[in-house]
Amino acid sequence: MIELRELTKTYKAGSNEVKALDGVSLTVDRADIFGVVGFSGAGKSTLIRCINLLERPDSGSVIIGGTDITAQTEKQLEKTRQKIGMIFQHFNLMRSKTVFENLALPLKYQKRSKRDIEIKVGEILNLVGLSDKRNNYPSQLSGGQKQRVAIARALANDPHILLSDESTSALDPQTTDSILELLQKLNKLLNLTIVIITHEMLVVKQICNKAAFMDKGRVVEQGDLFDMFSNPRTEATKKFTANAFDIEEVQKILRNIDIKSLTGENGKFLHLVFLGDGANDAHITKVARKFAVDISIIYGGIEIIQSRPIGNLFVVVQGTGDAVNAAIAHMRLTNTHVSVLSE
Amino acid sequence: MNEFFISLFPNVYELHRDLIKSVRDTFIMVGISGAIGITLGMIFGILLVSTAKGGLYEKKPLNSVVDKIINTARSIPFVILIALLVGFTRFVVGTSIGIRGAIVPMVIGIIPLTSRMTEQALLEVDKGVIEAARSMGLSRMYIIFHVLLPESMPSLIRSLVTSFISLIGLSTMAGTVGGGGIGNFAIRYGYSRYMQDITVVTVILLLIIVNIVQGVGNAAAKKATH
Repeated sequence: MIELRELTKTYKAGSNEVKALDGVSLTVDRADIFGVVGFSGAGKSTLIRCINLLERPDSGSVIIGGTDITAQTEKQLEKTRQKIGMIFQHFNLMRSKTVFENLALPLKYQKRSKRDIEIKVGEILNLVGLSDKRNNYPSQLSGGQKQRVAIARALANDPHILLSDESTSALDPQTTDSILELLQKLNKLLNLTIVIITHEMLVVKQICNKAAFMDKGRVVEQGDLFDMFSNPRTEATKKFTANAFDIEEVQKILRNIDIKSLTGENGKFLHLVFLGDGANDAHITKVARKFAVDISIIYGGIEIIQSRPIGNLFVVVQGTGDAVNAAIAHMRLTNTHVSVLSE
Repeated sequence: MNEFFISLFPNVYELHRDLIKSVRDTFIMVGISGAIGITLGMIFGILLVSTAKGGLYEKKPLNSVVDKIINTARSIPFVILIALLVGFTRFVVGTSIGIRGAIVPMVIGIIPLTSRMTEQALLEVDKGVIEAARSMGLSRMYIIFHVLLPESMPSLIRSLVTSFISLIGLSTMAGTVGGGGIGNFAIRYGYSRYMQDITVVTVILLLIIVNIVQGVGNAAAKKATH
């Protein structure tokens, strides 16, 4: 559906050159909800603007539905953009127009009949649940309602693709949830391909099926979301997933306590990650019994990614040296990632 | 009451037909030069914003040329501009005096101010809204007329008001060099013949006119703000 090949883009800021995109390639399939995450300045915003060519890459190609749109004329590009909706962090609605007029704008441009416009606007307003606000001005709406109007506007042309640029970053957690639910509903209902740019791991965790992690203008990791969360391969992704699991917080707290006093002479302090079904097993007790070690849980949590659980446990294992090592070796064999935090 | 007025403003009473004509002339001058000059000024303002860096039709060389022309024109005092344009004015309207002769320099004189004010008003429009319009696949021309202009309407109206009020000022200056209108009337009688009451009444008239224009403009701007 969307294929980005070797995109590069450099900005000049005075004498400095900033590489916003440094050879980015991505593939998004039909009906994916594809998350692009990274810290600010990683090049996410530039990347999403290259998909509808609001920004032109210096080199590389943008292929939408089999057509390289970087070669299109301005007029052709207009047609392409009509089939790619976009929503923004600050909604970007017209203040001078009512909700109805905002939604009618893209339709009026295509010289659709008044009746047609009435029907279509009614339809999309209903879809986002704001039928009663059609004659309000954006200034009379809450942030969440504004974003719903913006989503409705992006849907006016019946797009195949929806681009979301930090669309929940200005909203409170509850409103964020409701907007994400709406996006998920649209994805299912309209078979809509959605690309989400965000710095909030929570957003990706909640609705994306695939993700790409960006760092310094490069995609450092991309693919299935569950794989990435359960087994992050690069430092940047590790940091991000740790963030999503609150692990960073835990590690901060643990840094301040005397681990030795917890582990004793032969004990070890471990971080265990259980994947999928393993997260449900009575794993810990089994290991403790089998190897005659004591396992105490310091912190634990289970996250659900794409309806599959990922368990995170911080534990102290105590016993004879051999027993502890054997227990660790056993856990490594049984679909558990073990990292030893302190001996 | 009538006699009291006559005793207070004897010359005004004497010349009231001339005064009424001069007010009418001012309206004609401001109306015509405003219609032409402010339209041209707005076009230049739109040109400035859309050709600027990051604009819809980014064209830096054109932008800097227009920018420099406007700056240069702005720095010429209006009285000197009238003198400078005498030949041009005669070429365009066949005379350099009277109402017709005043209109040409007034048009040229108001363009720089209006284009700067328009530029300011348009720059206030959130860049994100333009970006959203582009993402919908609207053409650039359509965005200018259906997004950029409506979004900046309150500010545009305010700059329109300022332009008109400036034009009233320009019209009185044109009057001093034989342009006709209220300015001409005040100079001819109030200044040259020491008819103080004429000067006072013209000032009062101008105050009333300016306040009406400002009041109507403010109301319109308020109505356009949502």
